Amino acid sequence: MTLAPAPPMGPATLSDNTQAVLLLTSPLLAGGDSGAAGAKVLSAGEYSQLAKSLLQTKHQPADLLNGSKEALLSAAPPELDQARLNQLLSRGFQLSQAIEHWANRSITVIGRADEAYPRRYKQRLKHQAPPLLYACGNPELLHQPALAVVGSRATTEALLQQTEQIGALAAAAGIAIVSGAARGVDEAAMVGALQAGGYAIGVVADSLEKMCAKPIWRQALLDGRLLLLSSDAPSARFQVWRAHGRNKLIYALADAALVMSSAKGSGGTWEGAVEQLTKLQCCPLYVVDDPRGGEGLAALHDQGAALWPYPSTAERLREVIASQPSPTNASHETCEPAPAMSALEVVQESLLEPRPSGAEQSSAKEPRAETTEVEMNPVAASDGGEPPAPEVELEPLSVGLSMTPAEQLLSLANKLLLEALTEERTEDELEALLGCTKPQIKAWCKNLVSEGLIRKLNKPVRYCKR
Amino acid sequence: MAVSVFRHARALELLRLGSGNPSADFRDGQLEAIQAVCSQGSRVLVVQKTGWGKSFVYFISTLLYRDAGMGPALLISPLLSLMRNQVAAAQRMGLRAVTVNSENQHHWQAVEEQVAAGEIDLLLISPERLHSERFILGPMAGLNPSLVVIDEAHCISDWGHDFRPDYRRLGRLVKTIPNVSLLATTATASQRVMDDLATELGPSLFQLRGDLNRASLTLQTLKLNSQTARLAWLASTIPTMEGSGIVYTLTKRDARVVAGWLKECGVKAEAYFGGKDAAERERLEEALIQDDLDVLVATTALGMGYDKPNLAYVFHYQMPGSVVAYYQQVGRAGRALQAARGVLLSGREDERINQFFINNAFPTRSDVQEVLIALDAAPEEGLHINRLMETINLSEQRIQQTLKLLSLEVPAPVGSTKGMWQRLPADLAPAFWQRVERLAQRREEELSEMQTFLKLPYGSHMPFVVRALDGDPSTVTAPTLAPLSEAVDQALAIQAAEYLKRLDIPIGPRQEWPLWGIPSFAPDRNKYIGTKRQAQWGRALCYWSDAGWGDLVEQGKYRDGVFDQSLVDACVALVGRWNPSPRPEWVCCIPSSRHPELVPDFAARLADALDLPFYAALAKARQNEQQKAMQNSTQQVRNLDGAFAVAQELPSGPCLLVDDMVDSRWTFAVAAWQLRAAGSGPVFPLALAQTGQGR
Repeated sequence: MTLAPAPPMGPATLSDNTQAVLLLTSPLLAGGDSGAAGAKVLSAGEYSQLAKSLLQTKHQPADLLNGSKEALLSAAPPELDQARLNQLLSRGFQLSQAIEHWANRSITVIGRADEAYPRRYKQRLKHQAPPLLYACGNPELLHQPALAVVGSRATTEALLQQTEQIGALAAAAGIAIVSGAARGVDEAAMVGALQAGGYAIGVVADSLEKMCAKPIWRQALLDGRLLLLSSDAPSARFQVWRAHGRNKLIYALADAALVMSSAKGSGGTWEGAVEQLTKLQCCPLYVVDDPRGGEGLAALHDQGAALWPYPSTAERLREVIASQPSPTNASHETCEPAPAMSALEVVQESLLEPRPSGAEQSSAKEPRAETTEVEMNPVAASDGGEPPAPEVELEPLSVGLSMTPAEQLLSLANKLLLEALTEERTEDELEALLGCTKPQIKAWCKNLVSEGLIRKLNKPVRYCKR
Repeated sequence: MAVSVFRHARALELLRLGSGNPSADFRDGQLEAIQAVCSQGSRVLVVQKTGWGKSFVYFISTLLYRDAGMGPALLISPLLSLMRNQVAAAQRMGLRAVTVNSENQHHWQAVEEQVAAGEIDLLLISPERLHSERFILGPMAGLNPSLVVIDEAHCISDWGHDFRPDYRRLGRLVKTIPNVSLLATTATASQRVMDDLATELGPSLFQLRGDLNRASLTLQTLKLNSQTARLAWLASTIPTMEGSGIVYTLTKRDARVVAGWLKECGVKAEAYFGGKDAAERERLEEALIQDDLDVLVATTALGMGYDKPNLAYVFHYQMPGSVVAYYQQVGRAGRALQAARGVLLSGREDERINQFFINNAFPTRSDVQEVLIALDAAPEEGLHINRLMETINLSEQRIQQTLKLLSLEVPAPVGSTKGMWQRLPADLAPAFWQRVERLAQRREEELSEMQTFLKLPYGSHMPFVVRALDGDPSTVTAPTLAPLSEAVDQALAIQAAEYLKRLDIPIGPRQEWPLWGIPSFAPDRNKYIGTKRQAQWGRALCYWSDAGWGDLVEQGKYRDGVFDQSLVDACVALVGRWNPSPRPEWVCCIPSSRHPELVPDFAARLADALDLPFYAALAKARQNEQQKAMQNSTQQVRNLDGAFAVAQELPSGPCLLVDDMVDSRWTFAVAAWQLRAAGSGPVFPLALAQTGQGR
């Protein structure tokens, strides 16, 4: 026996399910997306398909690591080539090499079912929530209140200084900065927070392995004040599309987001922010009122981003983070601040997840907390092929209760209205669209206005999504 | 349950093909082991003596997996290649095996292509190579074996008798290898090591352990303090032995000295050690197998896996550091003989050498501190080892060793990418030092166990070894041979003493400056030393503190302040045997500010005796540090940069350049460069003693 305590981030800590998901979806240590002898790793969609088929026979990915592999594979969806799955699963030795290599480099792997996996991703990104996260640093930071600060690489020195000050203010307020760890605004915000003794999360688009070894992050990583995170395998190199995909991972971790600079009409910052305003709406989005930040800022403001109120104290910053902004400076409605699950998502989870309550919680052979999420999460499982459902933020229903028919109808109506209201529409138009009475339309819309999800415009009365 | 690819008839067919014997049958345990390995995802540990046929277990299993359409096997072994008889067996079975090691780099690309094309059944790789970027990130990473074999698996355990840093990584790897069968093999594992392995490899481990007794071996120990006595004993005993054997030494230089002596006594002997190139070592191994040699004088570099079934004896010139190491070495004798001998000689230097090995096995806390501090201040892209040598006064080997051990930790405080070392975001865990201390203490215990072994009476050696390895001593039978005579032939001993006084150790010239090493001599960063500026091949009279002249040199330097006249005479004799060409026409020496008279006095007397003029052509130009305090090439050369001034006018003929000690050879290189630049002819270095470990 050895005297040495188990290493804090040893390979042994990975669950069987996470190992199986790695085998299926991660390029492991190889570059690119090829797994073994030309077998491509599964895309998120393909993986969801497989997970769904496993779920149907009450299996989980971990079962692909034992004797039932053959039987399970023959029952896999026909779109997934069995030989390819077999090749991916045959990468056991590569997997062990990868886990060891990453652990050696202080990088852990977090699966969707793991405790450390950010709940906000599952709530806000749903089927787009990455099946695996690679992380270096303190994963507890994922549960802190956080302000996302983003901007372009090329930004004026004055604006970078301002960014650093915002980082420092966040540090004083006990709010973590979430950013992309790229040069420019990202780095300024994070360094500002870290130098002031605060916390930061960097969702990196470049190789995580390289980023972790950078001297500017070392001390904060050692102190447990920084987390570097990526949904791509750590040796993956920077790619533009990857940087774009990563934007939503930044917003989805934050209580509020601030754009310091942006080009207009193109670029990662612009596209990420527009995606937030028009589609994902993970959290309130602010822009600084500063022409030095580029034309994109005003344009984002036009699209609904609020102006940054320039809080001067930690207390004020905390208020900003806790409140819902209005797109115009005049309006001061307060809205639901916390990230919320969509009603639909709650329904689906509640239908399929084992109840964690009372006697019904059948004591399976082994308590396997991880079995539920990754594998059985119907949100992930429903991904394949279907168009993604619009992301709706509503009051969370109490988890564990299935909805009444009335609630289900309301939830469906909300979904359809929000889809329709990406453009301004009159009550008459909505009446025609849904084929129901005008008072019913009014009632539903009133409810959505009070939720802060749509706006009411006058003369004539129109509604529009925020 | 787990699927098995085992097929009995086919396994037997393969065995008969491989052994070339159509009626061969499985040896005790082989079939069970193959059966266990053939169950997918299995974990198997086989502890069997070398020669039992472990390779048949993984060869046949590999082929059964192949028959079932599954991936190849990966064999991780510190051995550089399969032994010749294994290669032959593999070929007869139609098994495509290839090796990747540091000595066949030119083949790697071809191997990578074969791996990609699925044309390989068995890839043999060293643990070091397994850890390399090229293997982890390159095409070979796509091998995706269905069977992984770990040879010398005892190294995974801290309680294993030899320490190989890369096995630390293997020990972690084996914990997570889903969908892959794992076979761990070793020739020797104590109960503690077995327990450790069982922990690492998991609860469903299938274990197979053979017995340890080597019934054919007669063991004997003999304490002979002086080198001359041992040399004499070897010279009188070896010619009486039937068949050929191995003499093990602790150091390379002893291997050279002993082999040289035996040759002089008419024995067909050669030295074998790690510094020799692979082709030469292979030639020597083969020569011994063919009995073209009487004896191979070897360090532990002639180790694991070497199999000559009719090896008649294994003698030890010095005492190994542990019972297991001894058992493994002596166990090479008599594998297929009725009777064979193992005689352990032990001298007074054993303790010192073994302590040196223990003390240098691990870096000290301050070594680690220095390396970490240097890397803390490194630029973002990291530092090359050459740059580290500029700032850290530790030997290159020590810096490498420190970096390596640190980089194998999980999480690691340092790591390298493409040869550039970086600090990583992890602190060194205190457990690292606990482990270092535990391993060092373990080695001390092993050494003291070995000292007990040394004092055992005839007949009790094998039971002691078997007990020390947690085997069953009741299986041990009495030795079959009578002990060899302990008598030392005095005439031979005198002859050996004379031999030790004319070792004439060659001193090769330095041909390259260290990178970034010497600002004033290598402008334009041209690191090659032109042949017109190099020293010639030189000689050293003896090894420092060794028998022969060593004691007298030490006495002259540290007690008398003057070198004895007999050393002058010895050097004259040396120059006569050496006969450097073109013949030196004048003598000069390396100046010293600490002992301003010692070497010039000696050199002048030597010049006189050689009937050559002595010129004090070199003088100290500045006070520098003692050269012996400089631990690596960069530091050594820097310390000499500008240290010497050359006289205005020099004789233009060849020159004999005298110093008392030679170690790194940089002093000779720098002085020769300056002398040649100032117009001297070829410069022949001559030192009284070679210091350093010379291993």
